[in-house]
Amino acid sequence: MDHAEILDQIYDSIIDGDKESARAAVQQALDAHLPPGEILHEAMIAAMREVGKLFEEQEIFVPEMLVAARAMQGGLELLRPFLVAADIQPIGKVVLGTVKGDMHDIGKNLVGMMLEGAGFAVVDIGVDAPPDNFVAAIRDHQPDFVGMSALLTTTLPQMIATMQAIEAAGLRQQVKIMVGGAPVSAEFADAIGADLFAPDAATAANRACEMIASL
Amino acid sequence: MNSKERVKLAFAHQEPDRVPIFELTIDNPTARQLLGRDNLCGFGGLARGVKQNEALLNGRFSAYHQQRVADEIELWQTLDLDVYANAYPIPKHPIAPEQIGPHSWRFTDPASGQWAVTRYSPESDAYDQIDSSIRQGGLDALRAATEALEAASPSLADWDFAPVETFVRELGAERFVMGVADVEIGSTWDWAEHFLMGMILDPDLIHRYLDARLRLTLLLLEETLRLGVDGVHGGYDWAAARGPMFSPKHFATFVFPRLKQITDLCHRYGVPYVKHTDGNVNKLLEGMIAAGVDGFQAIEPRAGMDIAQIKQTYGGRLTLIGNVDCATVLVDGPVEAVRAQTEQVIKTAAPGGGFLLSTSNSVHPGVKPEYYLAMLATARAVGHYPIKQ
Repeated sequence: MDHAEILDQIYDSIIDGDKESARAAVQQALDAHLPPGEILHEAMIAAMREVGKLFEEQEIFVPEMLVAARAMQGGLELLRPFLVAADIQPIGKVVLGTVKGDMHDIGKNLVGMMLEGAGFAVVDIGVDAPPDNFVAAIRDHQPDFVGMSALLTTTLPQMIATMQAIEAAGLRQQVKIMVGGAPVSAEFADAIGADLFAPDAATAANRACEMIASL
Repeated sequence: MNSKERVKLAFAHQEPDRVPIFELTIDNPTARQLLGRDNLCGFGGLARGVKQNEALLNGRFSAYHQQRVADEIELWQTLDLDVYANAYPIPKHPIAPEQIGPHSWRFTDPASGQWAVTRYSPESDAYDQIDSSIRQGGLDALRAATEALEAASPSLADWDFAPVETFVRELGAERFVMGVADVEIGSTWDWAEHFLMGMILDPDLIHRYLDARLRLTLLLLEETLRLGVDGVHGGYDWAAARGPMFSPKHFATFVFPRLKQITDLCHRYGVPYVKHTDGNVNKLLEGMIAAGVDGFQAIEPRAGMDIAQIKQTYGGRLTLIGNVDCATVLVDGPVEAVRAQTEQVIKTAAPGGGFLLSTSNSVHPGVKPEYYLAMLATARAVGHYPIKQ
């Protein structure tokens, strides 16, 4: 199998959500001394980009996206030490959380998976996260983005409170803020001064990639 | 014409005297304002979670439910709503939780060792399961839970149907009382990711899990029907704003055949089945109707559900129940916008029958009481048949 075929196998295994096949193909790529950056970008991130596109087009749904992300993670476990050794950095860093009062996490988790699939490092601060936790995570991790999720209409005010806390801490200028979740609209995102709104996980990853490229 | 007659005509796709009014649940603060006192109404976390857990720990579980039933009956009578939708039995031997934090509880099943942690948020009045043995253990833990369900012998003797009997007795003479039954998809639990991945990674396990849950559901449903409810609703959410949580193909494989068993049982007792779901389910409506669903409640405008288009395409086969927007006008107002939207919904969906008015989900804690009351007042003012265009 030549190098292109190995990369194709990684790509196909991730799209099919076949974790074992993805790991086997990544191991084969490493054994063949393919550059880690090429494995990551040409096969794995490209596959997750295609998964995002298929999700946006409703050709696939959440289960297919989840098993694809699982296959990607399986391959990344093998690849990560080689990425570190080659000093290949994430394209950016994101702090993600569900705002105070809201305990739903599947939307946030999907966004995290798609961002990782796009090459970001993701710091997940969990659900029911008070504004101070977002502020502390920005100080600790120095992210490029902060992503806030909410599922309940009643927790939208917590997005505003978190924005205000980030502003009050003097950190607003150093991060882009992305918001999403069932009750969140583009109009709401504009009204509270967020930089990005994403209606779904795939779009969140796409828009974050576009914005990081423009910085 | 009383409420029950009005609702039955609507489900028969005929025009009653006026548009019937449905509400899935009514939470505080709306319930508190209307009753003028603290109460246990609705799906809000304080009433449904915290107070119930306190009752479990104090040995007052039955008394808690008696009060909850009494509060809901008083609220529905106060508002003179046509449909009460939540008549369901309660377990006779519930598991008492361990309080592990100011707003957190841990439930452990002594027989199986399975556990779950729930948390309440005073900020949002939400109460949810946030962790569990299945979340931590993945599909292996789901397999163990399924085996425990399969090994159990569900029995009516373990369930107290007094709440159902009380709602039928106190409201059922005049109003349309509904029981509760659904295909219990795990996509709304804390372990949703495992359930959803299981559809692909271990479909046999998901079938077994759903069958095991359905066995108890059908047992309780038949007794609820025998006690005289007028209809049944199922409340598991199927979709988010962009579309279904899983593919129409997976709905056809995992959900619709089991839903058909539920609707067939309802129809054997001569009562309609209503499916509630959030989100955009346009891709699922044909399958829903083929599975025997008679009514569809919520019809969420923010998710792109267009009641005019649905009425035009499915109105002859599906009773529509909705859809004054409880994510926008019923939260933010003003009253004039509530009136305008209520009138527009009625003019669009009511002609010809097959329509009940409700919010686009429920009267959740974010809904302002004055806006919900404006919706009801408008419906009663403009909802008389024939509907004026």
